[in-house]
Amino acid sequence: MSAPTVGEPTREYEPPPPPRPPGDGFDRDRIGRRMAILAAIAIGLIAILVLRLWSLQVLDVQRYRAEAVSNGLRSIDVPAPRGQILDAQGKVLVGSRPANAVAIDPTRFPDLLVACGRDVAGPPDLRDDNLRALRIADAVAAANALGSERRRARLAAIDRQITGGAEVRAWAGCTDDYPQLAELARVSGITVASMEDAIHEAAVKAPFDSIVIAEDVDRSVLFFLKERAALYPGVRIVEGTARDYRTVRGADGVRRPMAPHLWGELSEVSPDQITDQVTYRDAEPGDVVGQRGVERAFDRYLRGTNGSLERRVNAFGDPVGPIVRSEAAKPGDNVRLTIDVGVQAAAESALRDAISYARANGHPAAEAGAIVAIDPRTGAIRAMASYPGFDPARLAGPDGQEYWRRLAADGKGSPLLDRAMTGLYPAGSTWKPITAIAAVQARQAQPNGIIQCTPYVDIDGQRYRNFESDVDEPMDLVRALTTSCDTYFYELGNRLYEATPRNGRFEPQPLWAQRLGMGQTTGIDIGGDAPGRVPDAAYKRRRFGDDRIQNRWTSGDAVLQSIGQGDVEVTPLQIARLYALIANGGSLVTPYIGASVVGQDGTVRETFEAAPGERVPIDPYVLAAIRRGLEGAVQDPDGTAYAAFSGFPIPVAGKTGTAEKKGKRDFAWFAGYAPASNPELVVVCVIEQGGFGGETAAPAVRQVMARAFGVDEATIAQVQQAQEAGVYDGPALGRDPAREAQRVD
Amino acid sequence: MVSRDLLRRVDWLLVAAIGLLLVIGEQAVRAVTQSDFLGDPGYFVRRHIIYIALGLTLAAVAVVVDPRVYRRLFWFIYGGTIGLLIVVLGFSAARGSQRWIPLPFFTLQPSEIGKVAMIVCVSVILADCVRRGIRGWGMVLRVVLVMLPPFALVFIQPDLGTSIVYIAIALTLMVVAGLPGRIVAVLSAIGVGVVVVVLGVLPSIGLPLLRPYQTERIVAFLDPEGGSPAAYQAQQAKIAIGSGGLTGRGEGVSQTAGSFLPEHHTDFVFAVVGEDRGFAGAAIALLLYLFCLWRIGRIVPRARTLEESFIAAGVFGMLLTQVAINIGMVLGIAPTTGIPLPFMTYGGSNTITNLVAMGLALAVGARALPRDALAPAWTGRRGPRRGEPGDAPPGTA
Repeated sequence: MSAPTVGEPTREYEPPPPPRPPGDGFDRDRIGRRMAILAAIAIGLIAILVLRLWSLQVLDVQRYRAEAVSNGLRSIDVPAPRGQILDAQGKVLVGSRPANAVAIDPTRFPDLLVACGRDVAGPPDLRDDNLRALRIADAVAAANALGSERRRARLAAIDRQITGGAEVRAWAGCTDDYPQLAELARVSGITVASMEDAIHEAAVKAPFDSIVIAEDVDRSVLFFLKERAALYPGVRIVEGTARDYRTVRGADGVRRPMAPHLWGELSEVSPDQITDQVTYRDAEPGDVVGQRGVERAFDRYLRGTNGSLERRVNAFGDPVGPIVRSEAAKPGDNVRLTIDVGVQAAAESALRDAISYARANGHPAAEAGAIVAIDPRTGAIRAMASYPGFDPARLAGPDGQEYWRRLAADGKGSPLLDRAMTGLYPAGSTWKPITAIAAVQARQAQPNGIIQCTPYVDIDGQRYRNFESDVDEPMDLVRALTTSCDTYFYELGNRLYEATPRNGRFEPQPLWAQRLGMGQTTGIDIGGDAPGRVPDAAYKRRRFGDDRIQNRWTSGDAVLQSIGQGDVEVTPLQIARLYALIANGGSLVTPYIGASVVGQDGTVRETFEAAPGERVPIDPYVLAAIRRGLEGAVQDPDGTAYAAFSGFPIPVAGKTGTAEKKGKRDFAWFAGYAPASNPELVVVCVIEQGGFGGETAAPAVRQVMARAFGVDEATIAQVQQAQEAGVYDGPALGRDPAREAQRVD
Repeated sequence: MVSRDLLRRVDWLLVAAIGLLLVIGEQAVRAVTQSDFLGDPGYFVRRHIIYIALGLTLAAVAVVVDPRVYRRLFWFIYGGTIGLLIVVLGFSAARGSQRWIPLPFFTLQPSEIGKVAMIVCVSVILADCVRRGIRGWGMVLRVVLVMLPPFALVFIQPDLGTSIVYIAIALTLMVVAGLPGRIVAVLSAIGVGVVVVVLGVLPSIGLPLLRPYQTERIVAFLDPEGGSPAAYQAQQAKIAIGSGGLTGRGEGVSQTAGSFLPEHHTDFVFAVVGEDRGFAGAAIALLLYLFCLWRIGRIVPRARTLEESFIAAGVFGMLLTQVAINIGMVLGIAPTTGIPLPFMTYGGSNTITNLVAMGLALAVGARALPRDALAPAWTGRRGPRRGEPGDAPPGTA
């Protein structure tokens, strides 16, 4: 120790002098007494502290320790891998793969939730435009509170939102104060706006959890963030699983996701959904569940049971210790569908081929369509395709919201729409069997009754034209279906109208249409299909209200409906169901797509039996006549689909349709089944604005049938040659003996 | 060279108690700051140890320097403190107040240094008062004149906690200097009145003198379950302490180490001791503080000069005030104020200040009269009473 440099002392220590005599004021006794008082105060204070310590630590220890333990232990859900969706042969249609999401811990970003949580809470009954006005006012007020430069930028952005008609986001720019978040958004490949939306949603919903701002990010993003963890405090990687969708390579070499419309998206279960303990059995808050389609219908099998980890965490939720307790997640079961990958792929490529054919052959507006293939005996769906499609993986990815907005805004193609189940179309001539059944059952016609097919008919002063203008031939039902004579069915429609009481209450045609599955949902197991519309007297009254002229059921309504026009709306699935009934002899099947539940170990846990078809009381000879008519349409050289199936080695029956829709070009239909004598497969195709059914839709159906029955183009060519040479002796080629055997039972 | 005699007369028991408290504090800071600085678990504790070493060095210097020097350095000390307190107002605010001057190796908090400076300055003034027979209001006036500028500068930073410590130091010194009991009573009444006016009357007539966060802390104290951030801190501290139980939960447990208590290594460090070491550890720490207070208090009547006596008393008052308010706050029986816990709270300025204050007390003690030189009830030994036979002059007995 060195001597001090300051001041006087030459001696650091000087022996104390004797106490000064009284008079210098140093009254040691008095100071001692005062000091004793202070000492007593000190002892008192410390005693109080010790007592308080005793009360907290010894008397109340149980309570506080319990609080501390619950404070520091956190149970973390380990999401169960979702089960796979398989096709009829067990091929994986939708798989599961590990995926990682980028999340932020809001507590590491002070005031972020306040900034992003701001919104105008209008009264619930406030009309949208008023709420929008409030939002605008609020956003402007928030902008005005900023510094001049940022205010100008924000006001300009609000201006753009207003003029662009976009949603006014009061929370826009709430991450401006956090440059690391902008950087994070850039790194994760998402827009700042979508990040702000995610934070806003979390701030409103569950402000204390970590907020996922980008789901299923690329592995490179993951590594980037993990390497630089120190640079991104409060950023977390949340491990999970994502769906892996089967893709199929088209003839053009492009890989496309298969059957994207069937699956439905996955997202966190909503409070309402939790109460639905049938669909979402055992779902708990935070679980990710299917929202539509197959994922929703079979969610209770696919979801599995989450595991959990309990571990010590600090106040920021970062793990600080080993795992205290863990419970493994139980993966979901696989669900096997009735869908056949091969037939589905054929359906999808047939759609694309049909559309590109139509576009190249005078129907440039053709850009959408659907194909349904079902087993008429059971209702099992073999393929269900809708065009255009989309990429479900991208929809679930980081830019999913943006992608969804773009798809939804695509007014022409509406790729998100599943046309097979929810596309609503005029039925056109595919409706004609309904008219025939109604007329015969109502005793207004007989299958062998002859009606002259003419270029037009005049009914009640209105002229109705035949599609084929160069015809004048007496026809029975078989011939009328084969050549698709419109005037024949106009006549049936008119007879049905004449035979009905004037109030139209018992109009047989709409009645029979409903009995045959039109105007109602099909009961398909994945749900979500559209009911369509069968106009009747009640519909007219609803639609035209008190207008006494317009609201009546007239002969015109009946006549137009006889060829599936006049406000008739059907889905391809409904038409498939109708033709299944014709094919199976009068049973209305319930379409279904789920075949069985298969455990991860391969054992079948549950099999979904086909619902027994509903027998519709139709005289067998009517159905027989219709079937002969449909066979003629394909096999008779005068048939409307003869050219399309020329050379097809399996006898096919079917009906073309060329439906008219106001403001659009003709919609091409074909609905058929094969083999004609003992049907195993019904295929229905519709091409929007695709022109003639026989020209555009029938070849697509043939493509699907060829794949389903294992017929290749070489065989077709061979048969064609044989037919031309007159040596073809029957539809036996290209048949699979095994299938043949199956068909017997 | 430092004489052997001085070293022999240093109160090594006091030094040992301080050393133990420093060790307890260092353990607590080490235990809870492992993950506070990303990538460097030793960041805080390393700096803490450097501050302690610096403080001990300066304390040693204070022991060696003859306290009589300070009378001559009065204006240097006083002016320097005022100067620093003015300078600090020029630096940008952190957490809502301007308390720190950024230096290359640490940030200086002048109000902390001011505590020791005020002890020295007020002691000099009071010694003059006593010598000139000024008691009563004259003494109060002089102390107020000296204390007002630094007090005001600290109060407007704003640093409510440190200003309270200033008042406590001044009050302790005046009590020891013999301020009549009725004046102490009047001053206390004025103090209570000021608190009532500042907290109750002024806000109600729209003149809030306190900053919002100060009001919030008082509200949080009065309503601990209210859910304000200040209440959260106090509640978490209580949970930490309470969960410690009789013997503690050991180091690195959830409550304090897991950052549920954000200020775990600074103002709420005692909660760490309570949680990790339990009632046993926390009570030992409290008794060590009491022991320090006793060792400091016992030299007050025996100091060589009035100034030295008052310096020791001032250190006593400062230590008691800080310990009582800080631990009271941690235990939830005093409102949250930014008062550090001596020897334990992480931080350069307060560690150094408190150790230098201890150095001053040790310096006074090393130069005090021997224990048997006078016979107050204070020392616990009954010596000859004044005026009785056998009352020999000190040093001759």
